Amino acid sequence: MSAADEKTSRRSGRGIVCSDDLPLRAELADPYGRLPPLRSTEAVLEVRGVHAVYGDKEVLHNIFCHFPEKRVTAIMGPSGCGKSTLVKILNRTLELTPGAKVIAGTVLYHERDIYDRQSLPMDIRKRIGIIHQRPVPFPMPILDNVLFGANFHGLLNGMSPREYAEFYLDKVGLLEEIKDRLGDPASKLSGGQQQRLCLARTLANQPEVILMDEPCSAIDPVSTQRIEALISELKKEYAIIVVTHNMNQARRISDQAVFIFGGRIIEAGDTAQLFKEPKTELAQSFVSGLIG
Amino acid sequence: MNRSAVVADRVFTLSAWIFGGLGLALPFSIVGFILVNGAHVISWQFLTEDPAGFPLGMAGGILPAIKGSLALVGIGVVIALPTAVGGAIYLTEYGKNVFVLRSVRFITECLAANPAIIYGLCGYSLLVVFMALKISLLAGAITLGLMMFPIILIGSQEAIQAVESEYREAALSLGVTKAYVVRWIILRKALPGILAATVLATGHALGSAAPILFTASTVFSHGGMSLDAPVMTLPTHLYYLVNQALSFDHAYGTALVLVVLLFMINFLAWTLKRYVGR
Repeated sequence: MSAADEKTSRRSGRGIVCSDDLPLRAELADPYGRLPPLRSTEAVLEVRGVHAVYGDKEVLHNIFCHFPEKRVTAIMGPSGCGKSTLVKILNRTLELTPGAKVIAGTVLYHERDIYDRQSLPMDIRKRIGIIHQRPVPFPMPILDNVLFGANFHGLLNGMSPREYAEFYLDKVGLLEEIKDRLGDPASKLSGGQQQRLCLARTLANQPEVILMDEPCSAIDPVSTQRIEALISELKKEYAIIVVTHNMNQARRISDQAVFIFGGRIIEAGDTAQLFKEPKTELAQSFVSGLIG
Repeated sequence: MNRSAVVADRVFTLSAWIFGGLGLALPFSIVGFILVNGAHVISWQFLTEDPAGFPLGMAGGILPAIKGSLALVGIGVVIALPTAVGGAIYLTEYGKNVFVLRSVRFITECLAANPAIIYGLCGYSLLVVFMALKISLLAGAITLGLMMFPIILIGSQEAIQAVESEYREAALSLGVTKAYVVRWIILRKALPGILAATVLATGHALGSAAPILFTASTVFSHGGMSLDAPVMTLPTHLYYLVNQALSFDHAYGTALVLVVLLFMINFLAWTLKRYVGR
């Protein structure tokens, strides 16, 4: 039991069962790492026994889970529990943080090990896009922002750059608002617009999976609503994995959910089910708002 | 309320105003002094003619010196800017060995603080004598380039380091190469800082007589320029005029032209900055 878990269990005054002690739902996770993980035929990404560290500190312990196609999975849990780390190991962007790395286990993308020597991080990142907590518009016009990755990967296929960019701006519902100022610097957009621009930039890369690391935590409620609506729209085409510390958001947008605490998966499964009947006391405390 | 705190606050405010005023007055008074003493010499003839009179410099203009100075600094920047920015990119984005990075940075800082005359001496012994470039525009420009290099490198390194790591992460997350990110994002964000450092270095180089005294300058030229011939420059011309007590009027005029040139370079950089890095 980690120090954080112990602290919580002391605070609540009753023995909260930790993932080490309790079997999780087999359809998503294997707490012991002893059983071969169940494989869903529709799984795009599968995490197998991953341990990740920042320097000397282990932040993820023996993670097993998988993510199906064309559905939204929420990764939820309180701040500092390892949610962002988990989402970043899925497209090899964790290693961009100095000192952070996966030390054991692996991630399969269409049953291909993304951490083996043959896998190019660049290729993985192109196929599995990510948008971050704070929108990061690049120092260039809106149009060039959308085309940044697409140009590099040569995805335009004879389409005119403007046409290509407009297609993806339209997809995120931004085109109508900014049609006349595609040449303006992206920094002039509002926070919510910037976040949708970042989403358009990721979509323009033609990924198969979209990771979102707390995409709404830095923007206003109205923009949040728009992003949430977009997520439900986009899941028709992409597998979407959203990190959130907001359990109401998780409930609104996701089909399945993974609850993490102290770097371990505590519980995972169908979102409605998990909220209705949490199997562990920790998950129950989270769902009822006692922790998190 | 605490009386001594109020008094201390007043004293602090007053001294801030005094030193702020001094900071404003000093550069203005120097420029004003040069303007008052030099303005009457400035004429179309002064700016567009060769020096004349006997001894030389008593009459005529300073056109060869303006051209020589601009050529020296221009070529110097062409040498220093790419090498310094390349070095800064290595130090911030690629270098891993902390010992090497710290050593390079330390030595560069020492170089930037080196007196200009030492660059003159090195330029003379290494370029003029050893590499047999003679006293020439090329030898002077390389010497000035060497002098500008550490200043631009330090400024560029600071500017590149100041680019938030979020940009690197967001861009690399799109599956592009590091070189692509550096070229299109990091350099763009850092450009105002790089420009500022370049202007600082240019100003430093434009006004220094010591590094070109032994490597590039001559008392008189007709303003025709070639890389292997010496040139007239503004600071050395000023130096000769004052040193030989030829014409203080022309010396002030030359100083004024030098100052105005520096203003123009700063203004150019400031205008450029407004259009980039957004």
